[in-house]
Amino acid sequence: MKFFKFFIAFAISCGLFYLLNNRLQLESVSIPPLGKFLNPYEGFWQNAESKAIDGPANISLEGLEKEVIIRYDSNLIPHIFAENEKDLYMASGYVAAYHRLWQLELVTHNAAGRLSEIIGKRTINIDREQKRIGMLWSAQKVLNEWKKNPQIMEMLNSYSNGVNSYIQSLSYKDYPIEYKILNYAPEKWEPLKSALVLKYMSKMLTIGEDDIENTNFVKKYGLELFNQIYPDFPEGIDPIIPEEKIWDFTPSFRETETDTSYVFVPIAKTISKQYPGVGSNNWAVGSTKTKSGNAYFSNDMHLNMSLPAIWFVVQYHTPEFNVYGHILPGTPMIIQGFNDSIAWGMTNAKRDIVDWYQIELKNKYRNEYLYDGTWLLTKKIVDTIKVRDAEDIIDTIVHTHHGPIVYDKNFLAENPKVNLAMRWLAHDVSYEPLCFTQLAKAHNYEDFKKAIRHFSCPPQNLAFADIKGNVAIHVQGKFPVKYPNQGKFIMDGSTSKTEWPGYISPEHNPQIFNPTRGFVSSANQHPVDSTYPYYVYSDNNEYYRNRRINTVLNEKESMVEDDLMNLQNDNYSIFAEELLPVLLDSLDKSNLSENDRNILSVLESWNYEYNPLLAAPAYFEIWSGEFYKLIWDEISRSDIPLPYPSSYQTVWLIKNEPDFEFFDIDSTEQKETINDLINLSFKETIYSISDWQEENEGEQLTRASYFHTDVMHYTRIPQFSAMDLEVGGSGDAVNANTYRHGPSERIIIEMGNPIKAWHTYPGGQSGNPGNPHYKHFLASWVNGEYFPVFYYHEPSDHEEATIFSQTLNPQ
Amino acid sequence: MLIAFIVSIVIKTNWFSSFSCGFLAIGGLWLFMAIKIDQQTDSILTNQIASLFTINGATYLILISASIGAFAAGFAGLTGHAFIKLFEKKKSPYY
Repeated sequence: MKFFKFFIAFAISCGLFYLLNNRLQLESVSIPPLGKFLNPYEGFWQNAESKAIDGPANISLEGLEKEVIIRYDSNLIPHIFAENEKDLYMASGYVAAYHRLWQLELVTHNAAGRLSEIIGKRTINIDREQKRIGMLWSAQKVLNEWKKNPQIMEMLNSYSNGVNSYIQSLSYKDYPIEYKILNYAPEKWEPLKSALVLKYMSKMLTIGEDDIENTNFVKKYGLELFNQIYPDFPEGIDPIIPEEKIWDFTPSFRETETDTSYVFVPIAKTISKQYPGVGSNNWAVGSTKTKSGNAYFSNDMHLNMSLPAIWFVVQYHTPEFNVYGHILPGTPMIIQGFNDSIAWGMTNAKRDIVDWYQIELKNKYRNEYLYDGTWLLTKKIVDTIKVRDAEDIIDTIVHTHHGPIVYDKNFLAENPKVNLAMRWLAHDVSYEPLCFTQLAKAHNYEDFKKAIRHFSCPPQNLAFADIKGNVAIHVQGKFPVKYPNQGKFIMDGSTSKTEWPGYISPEHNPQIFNPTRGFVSSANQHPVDSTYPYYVYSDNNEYYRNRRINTVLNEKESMVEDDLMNLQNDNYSIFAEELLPVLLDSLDKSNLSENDRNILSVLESWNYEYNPLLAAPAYFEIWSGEFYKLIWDEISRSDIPLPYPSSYQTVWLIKNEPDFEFFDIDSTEQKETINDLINLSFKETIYSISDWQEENEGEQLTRASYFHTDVMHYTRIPQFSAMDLEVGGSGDAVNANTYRHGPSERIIIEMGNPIKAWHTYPGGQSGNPGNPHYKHFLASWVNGEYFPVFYYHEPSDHEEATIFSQTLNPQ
Repeated sequence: MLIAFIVSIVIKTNWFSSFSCGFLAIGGLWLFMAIKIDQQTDSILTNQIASLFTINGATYLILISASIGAFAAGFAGLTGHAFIKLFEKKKSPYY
């Protein structure tokens, strides 16, 4: 009996012990070990913070040479004062880890194709794709080259030591909450991970090409139709470099002969592409157009909005330079910012720098491939993907000199003949870290130009302003010299004729300094018009934000910061202005119900502004979407991937080629005209609106409720996210908010004496959902408001704004 | 859990005390700490985690957290008591 009692008690205790110390799998949800997680001394309770920062005022870091002083201002922005760069970057690593450790790990695991180690089977294909497109491979490749550069390695090693110092000080109770929820521990950091962060950004900004889709289209419909729907230079564009620029250099052409030959291979599904709305705005207004005579610099970078925020703001002060700006957690360089003399920033430069080559392999062993009449050896890399709670996955990736074969019989292509190798600019070795360290120290335009020579990928429209009132913009990247139409379609990889022969030198890249109109700007549009001597092609360009920005900046004189803040938050859509009148004109207004007439009058009286609480933007979004689907039903209903025509060219075709054959709906017998489509789509719109109203009983259909812009935590846990934000804007408005993409930061800098700046971003400096500063800037960002920037020259500056001081001591 | 087990082995008493000792000790400690953290931080994280676990309110989360520790310690104590009882010699009714 006694034994029985003991056995029961023992069994219950063992059961409890096991349950409470292990993860529980419930269908799709994993519950963390509750004994650890709910323990107030160890678990999530320990992640709750009562103040923005409550760390120790003094910390000893092994490896520091001299003391480093950190001043945190009221926005939890660290202002780091170091005597030398080595200490500076070590402190930067420590600080980044302190606030964003989990983000550092997650982003780099994602880039390296290691998500399955943390998450399990669900992410296997995501990891396979990352490995195949060469994320880890190219990061390792570039790091090996960087190892020969002491300056880069000192920076990355110091940063790494700083991150590791923080990680080493942690026990379970100190782990960021995501580690506790997902039940794993932080891993040691290394310089390779900084390289991975840069590849992660490259992927985010450059994999939007449609070469495979273009090839499918041309095979099905022919080149003539292709050129009508996807012209290289549509009419009426407003390129980044204004007309006045004369191209007075001799280009190094290889061929001027165009070649539109292509290789067709059946591909049913492509790799994941960047969201088309990923882009940005920037502009710099020179002294002739501002009230104070100082140059103003503006930048808002449009990216996937997430929590923790994609950016971290920091100031670096050494005896040599004093720079403030945005860094990508995981790398120490300030990517966008300003120092005592200059300000710089970027928008994504559209150019096709991903090309696909069909490889002819000798046989099923895949050891050799055809190139200019001979058989070259392939290189096989066997990748192991570790999967949590499951077996490892092995994936063999066949490399050619063009690049890795991404699409083959094991991945996204069933036909064993399909072997598409990827030639991606991000696979090349480049030295971006040098660009940014030099920009931090730059004093003038000459320094700026020298620094950006190191900037290769992802290509960006780099704008510049200085304290002398000058402005400039450079479309900078390591652009391949291409013959007309090269890279638009899948090319034959067995001949050297289709390869990239060389690169455009930085002096020949589109650029302009102090244009007569008094400002520079970019919003991902065409960099140049067709007079530019080199062949320039991108699968998708921007057509609306840029024209709005240029219209406003051309009109205004004597500008002050409020003008620029208003422009960054401008919800006006030129797309609506150009399309809606056409739709309204051709609408048959007889036989409309009262409900229909109400909706119509809302649209008729609309001022084309995507303001959050207006209904018209939602109605227009639905109508234009339905209309687009009907016009391009061949494309939206296709079972093979086809490229989506731009809204801009669609509107142009409607106005100039009303009898264009595509306007007919394929699946119906009769031949529809534009008018028919307009009326049909309006009917669909009415149904959609009433469906929405049924599903969302009691709610008003507005821009905000229709788009429901969310800023999600990386894990998609709603409680850690900010959902249904009442923001305005659209992909085509300067305030480019859509569903989960939008201005990941906004900054305005007045390059005067003293330099003044204002900024905001949808998030907060702290990556801890339990910290009061987790969403610190979010409300002001939603309202289009800004926080003043505190630019320190001494640690004792801005005393009223300094909330916490920390000294890092050498051990 | 281990400590509660050992304590019950060392301090021999009835099963109820053995259970309660662990239950109240750990339960009390955890309850106190959870409430303290919740108060100091204005329930910033308590509310989020409660919602994540679909629990209706910070208070319940505090109680559940404390209960988990309490029951684990309680049963460990009980096991210790039952364990030590295994070695007790039966009192002979005869002299």
